[in-house]
Amino acid sequence: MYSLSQYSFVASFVALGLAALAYASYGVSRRRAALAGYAVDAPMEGGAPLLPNATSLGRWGTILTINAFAFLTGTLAFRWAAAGHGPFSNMYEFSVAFVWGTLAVHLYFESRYGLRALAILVLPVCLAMLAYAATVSSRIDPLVPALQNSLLLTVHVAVAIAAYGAFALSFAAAVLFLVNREDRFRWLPRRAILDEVGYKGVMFAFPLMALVVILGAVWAKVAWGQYWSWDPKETASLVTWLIYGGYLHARVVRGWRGQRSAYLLIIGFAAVLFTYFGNYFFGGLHSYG
Amino acid sequence: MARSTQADALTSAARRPRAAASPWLTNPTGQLWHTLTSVRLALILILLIALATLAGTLIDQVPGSVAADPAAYSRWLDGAHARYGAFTTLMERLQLFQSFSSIWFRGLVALLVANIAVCTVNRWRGIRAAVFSPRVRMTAAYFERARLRAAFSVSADAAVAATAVRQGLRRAGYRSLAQDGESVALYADRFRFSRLGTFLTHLSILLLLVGAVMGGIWGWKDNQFIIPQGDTRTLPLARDISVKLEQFQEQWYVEGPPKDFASDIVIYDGGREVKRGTVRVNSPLTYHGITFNQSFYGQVAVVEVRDAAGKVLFNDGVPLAWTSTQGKRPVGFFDLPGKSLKGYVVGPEPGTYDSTVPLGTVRLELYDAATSQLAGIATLPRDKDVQSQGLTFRLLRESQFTGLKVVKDPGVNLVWIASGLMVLGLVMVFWFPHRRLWVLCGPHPGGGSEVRLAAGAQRDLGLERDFEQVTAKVRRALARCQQLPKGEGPHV
Repeated sequence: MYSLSQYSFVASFVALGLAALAYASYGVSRRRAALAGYAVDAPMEGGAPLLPNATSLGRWGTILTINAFAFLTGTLAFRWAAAGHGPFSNMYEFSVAFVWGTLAVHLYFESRYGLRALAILVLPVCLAMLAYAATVSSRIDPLVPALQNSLLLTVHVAVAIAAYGAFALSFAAAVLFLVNREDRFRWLPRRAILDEVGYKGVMFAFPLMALVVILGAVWAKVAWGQYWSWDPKETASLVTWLIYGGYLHARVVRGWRGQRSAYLLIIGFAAVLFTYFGNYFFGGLHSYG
Repeated sequence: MARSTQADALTSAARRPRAAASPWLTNPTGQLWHTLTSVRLALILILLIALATLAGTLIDQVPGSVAADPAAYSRWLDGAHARYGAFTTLMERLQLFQSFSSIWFRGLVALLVANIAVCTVNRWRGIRAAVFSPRVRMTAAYFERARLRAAFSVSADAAVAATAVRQGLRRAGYRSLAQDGESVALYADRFRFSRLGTFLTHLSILLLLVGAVMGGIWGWKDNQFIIPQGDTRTLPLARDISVKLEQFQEQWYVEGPPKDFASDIVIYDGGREVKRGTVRVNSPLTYHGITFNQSFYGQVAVVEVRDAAGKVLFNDGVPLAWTSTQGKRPVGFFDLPGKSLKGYVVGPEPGTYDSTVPLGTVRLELYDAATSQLAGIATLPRDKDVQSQGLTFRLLRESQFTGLKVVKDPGVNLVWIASGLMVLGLVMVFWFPHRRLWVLCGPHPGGGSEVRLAAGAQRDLGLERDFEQVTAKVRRALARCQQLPKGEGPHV
């Protein structure tokens, strides 16, 4: 089981690398077509495929990403079987799961809104995360007493992964939004759409992030006796939640759109990464991995 | 855009003093209320709290037990000095080492609470209207301007068409309200209670803070409740209750990491046994709202002290629950009744060969209780009498102690209720957003009637998808109603 999980990981890595290449060439091809004066958005709206080259490259990107996602599912499932608990107990497992969540959210958004171009940014982030996972130990260690709560371990981390994945997608949309100033790159999705997708990602993830912090508090009460002790990881996750809360208030009530809210999304994702890698910067009760 | 509004605000603020006195002077309560209704204030507060929280994460915080003890606190500050240098005094003044219990942090939270409460009251009327008595008839202009629009011409009259439209809306999961007139106006929506989710969420934040304050006022905690194996100890903060440790067990995986720490304890209330069970890291024991959690454990040295006449002055387990500054050896201490001496017991450093304190022995250090001067030093092997300061010391045996964290928190249930409400509220608001659209069924100049649908003012991908689906359902219902509609299709 363990070696199957490892093979699956390598396969996923390769598929994801190829997918990133396909998406990158898709971007280049769209750009060329846009420069040549084609209507770039036409194929996505169900019209005649004016860009056979870009469309088929994009389709390859999607197919390879689905493959990578399937292999990654295998990595986690085999590991789950091998370890006998949810594969969420060290940095290797978190990273694989983080990428899994990001890909799941990305594939959902791609199929729902036809936004392939986000992958140009999302996939490199995922690849970097998998590369990081490849450098840390992938050994299955037995669970230390603090982690011996299989229900909370599974739910707490699984919810976190879904939330982080959606935040990653919002981040990608925000960066592309800032890059595509005045819609000058016609091969990229229009800014108005990117702005919306960034918001959709947060709409999906914000309740989940609240749940992550709450489940963390429940677990803290069970394992450490207190639901809140300002442990660095707790605090960082609260800050992350507050930043996205600020984003939502600014957008929904004060009508912040575009540039300013895009910067907030980038700050928010920086907070996500800070929370994620936090146990390297400071000690505290979360110092496992 | 942002710059221009800001500039406007600046110029108007500059003009205001000439026109009238500041509203803070003429109508302070009104102005206070107005300020507290501002979402801009909420944004600033959220930002400041986030920054303060971040500061509390990045700056070393004094543990509560240290802050309570002035001597320990000044020692801690010396340590902080090594890290923060000349800033230490200023940081101490600003309570940066106790960020989360500082006056400014509490002030920010209190302001946010006021802000949330006022905003909630202020917005209640508008939201109540949107949920319970929405506007059914929109102006003709709205149907021209709305972001999402669709129009159909049907040969049936307006009333028949309206019935068909309502059927289509119901199929799409929308409820509809109608208002008859020369044309039939319809209002349709779904997930209208989503708007109440906002209140639920904000209410939950207030409840959460109430729960936390209740815990702070009526609760207490003891982070280091130590019981040597076989002993019974009274809770320092609830003196009716005492706890006996029957056995402590640790288990390790062959690979090295710890597997299990378990304390079999018996709880007595007023001397009567009331509860018995095993406390593990992930399974605490609760009695009367007091939870007992496994926190740490360690070595106990059972020491006997006799005076020159052979009278036993002390015979008890000394938990080596502290750590020496040099060499990381476990340290415990005991007082000698009737003597002005304090005894320190030092165990061997774990995991290495300790030449100062050989394995199987403990080192005894005697200090003058008043002056803290070292008075005597000795190594105690097991079961051998050792003389020092005219007293006889003997290490009877070694065993273990358990360190429990004991917490009483009467606010915790409120915190869980608030948490549940918060998730419920957020899910309502963000996963099931309120969707609404308006329909106008009026007579068509060329005979039959015209059905117009409109929704939205701003870009909203979710609403667009919904609108397309609803339009398709309505079109089908109209087609079924009688003749095929000569639909112009949705103008999205």
